[in-house]
Amino acid sequence: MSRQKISEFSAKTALYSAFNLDFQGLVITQDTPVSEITNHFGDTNLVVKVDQGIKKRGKLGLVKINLKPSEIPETIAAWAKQGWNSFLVEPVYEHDSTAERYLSLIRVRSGWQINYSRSGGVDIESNWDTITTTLPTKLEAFLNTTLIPRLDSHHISFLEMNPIVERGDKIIPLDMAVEVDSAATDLPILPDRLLTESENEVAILDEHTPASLKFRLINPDGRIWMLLSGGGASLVLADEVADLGLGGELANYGEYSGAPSDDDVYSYTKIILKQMLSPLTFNLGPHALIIAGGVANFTDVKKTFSGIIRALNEQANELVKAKVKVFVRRGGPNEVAGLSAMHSFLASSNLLGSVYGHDISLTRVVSDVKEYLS
Amino acid sequence: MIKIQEIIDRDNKILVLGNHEGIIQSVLDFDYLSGKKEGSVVGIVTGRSGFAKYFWGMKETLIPTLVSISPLTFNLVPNTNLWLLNLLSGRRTLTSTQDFFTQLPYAAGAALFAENVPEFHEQSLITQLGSKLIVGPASVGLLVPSILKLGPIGGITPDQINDSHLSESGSTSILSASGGMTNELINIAISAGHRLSFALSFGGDRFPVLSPCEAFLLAEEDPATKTVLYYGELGGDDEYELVQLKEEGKFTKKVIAHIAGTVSSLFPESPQFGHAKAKADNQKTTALAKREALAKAGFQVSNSFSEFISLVSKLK
Repeated sequence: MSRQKISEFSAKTALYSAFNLDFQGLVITQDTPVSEITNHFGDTNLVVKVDQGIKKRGKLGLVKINLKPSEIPETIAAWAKQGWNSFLVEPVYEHDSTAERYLSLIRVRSGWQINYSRSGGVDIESNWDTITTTLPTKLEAFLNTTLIPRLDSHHISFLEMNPIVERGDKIIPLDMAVEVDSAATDLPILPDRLLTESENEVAILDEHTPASLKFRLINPDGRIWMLLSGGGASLVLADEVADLGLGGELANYGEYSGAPSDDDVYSYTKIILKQMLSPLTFNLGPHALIIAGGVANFTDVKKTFSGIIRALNEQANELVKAKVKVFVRRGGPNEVAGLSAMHSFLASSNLLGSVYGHDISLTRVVSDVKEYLS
Repeated sequence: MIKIQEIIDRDNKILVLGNHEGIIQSVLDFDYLSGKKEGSVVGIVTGRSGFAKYFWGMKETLIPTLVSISPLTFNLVPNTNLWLLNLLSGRRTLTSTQDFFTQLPYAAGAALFAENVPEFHEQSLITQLGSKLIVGPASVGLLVPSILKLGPIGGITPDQINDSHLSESGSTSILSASGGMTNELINIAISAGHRLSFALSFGGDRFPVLSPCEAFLLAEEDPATKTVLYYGELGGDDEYELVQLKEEGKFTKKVIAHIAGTVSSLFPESPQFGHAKAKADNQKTTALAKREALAKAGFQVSNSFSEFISLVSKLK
């Protein structure tokens, strides 16, 4: 449901045939033996690149040209020390740097925004004034009849090729960066970063339900934890924490939406509480858990809250010991029943911060939290 | 594209694709509480021919269920707007919507509920059906008080419909990128004593069929609307188009706007937030940059959501 990066290997595998080219690239890791590289390419000059969706690799020194297979392990070992773990090897394509062009296609509302420059290459940023939307006739025809239909079929939203080299009838993209539409693409999506254990647990949970469950750890030492519902309301509540000067205390961002079952919400809450109470990062002093959302259109408050209460109840003693207070605001179907169940649970468990319904503004809980923590 | 006034001036009927009892019942409850003589839902395409049981007030009523969309099924009286409420999944939204408008080309518009509609499909919908009033994808719908409730917008229980005074008309229009925040804004406006002219969620996708700009033009052309409450998010260029509308004098009414997403500055790189469009790819598409651009163009823009609430409460 959003634009995500894919590897250059996946991009070229999917698109090179549209250019009438064979893609010969090989993905290697630090453990790949030199013999495998030699078997694939012979003892020839090669290009090696970090292939993890990084921009400006050339400038960052994450591309090396004209290496023999035997020289590759040393380069890769150095990159691996910086934390990189996936690399693309390709044959060197000899060309003059004056033949390097820039071409990018971005999916926009009315079709495609296409940018082209005859001065492509690593210095494109400083040559940005050479960018034009007017293309050579043959190139334009190729895009319209061949390349764009291919992009549509893979649900690609963004393609940047820098450089491409034109030689005779051929156009050769030496470098490709691609973003796909994750709602429908058939290409493998790169993780945008390494997930923490709790983030990974939520991601797995999310895959197994039609509802949407998101969790991102910002600062495990933070004292403000959030269990939010709705894409918009979660953003507004997280903003408010930052706007009140509490950004440094914000432990996580996340949301559940799309009418999750009470079991989904139970498991989601459990993961967040486990992370919150983790002895590795837990600080002394008061903590706040914000359980909040807008006035739901169709998500049942009573049902989702019963899942949350079940998870809170299992950890009630630990939460009290950790000086956690829970601040709640929610409206929507079955609001009264859901809020009153939550209120009586929190009051009887000594966890009550505040409990509000739709008649109190969305962001009031954040002010309450500020007062409690100060 | 149909104007809000033309929705008010004519009768409105809805064909539902897909089954979601709570949402369908809420449309009937809205009709009933608005004092209509009959419900606006004329059929539900479920793949099975028969009837589905719903409530009309305290009495049971039967609504025809259909195997497929068929133009022959509808003997609409003249002067009626026909609407599609499409509750199918993201993958099926494009083809089913195309099918509806091919079979019933005179229909006025649609609400598309599903998330995960591919961008490529959204482009096709815009090119082929851009002249219809289509809110979404990922939209909770379109609401014209006492006239039309096309989707879960405004809530799905009779209490929510009553509390939000959805059978009374006013002069405040609500336009929102988020389904939940649409309802939240309705709640804020009503609590401050205002009543709605109309409300809609264009959805948080990158290419909503009805663009935010087009939604603003609906409000501009609606004689009842005096003020627009706008909720937008980081990501995308839509707010710059609103600035252009304002500068060209095409939009003249009062606006109170909130753009969410300043929290992204706590991260080294803008994360992808809940909605598909909600990611700042560059400085220009951050919440702060968009707030500044809107304010400079003369829109009233809040610096925090609490301020937004307070601006609405001061609204005359």
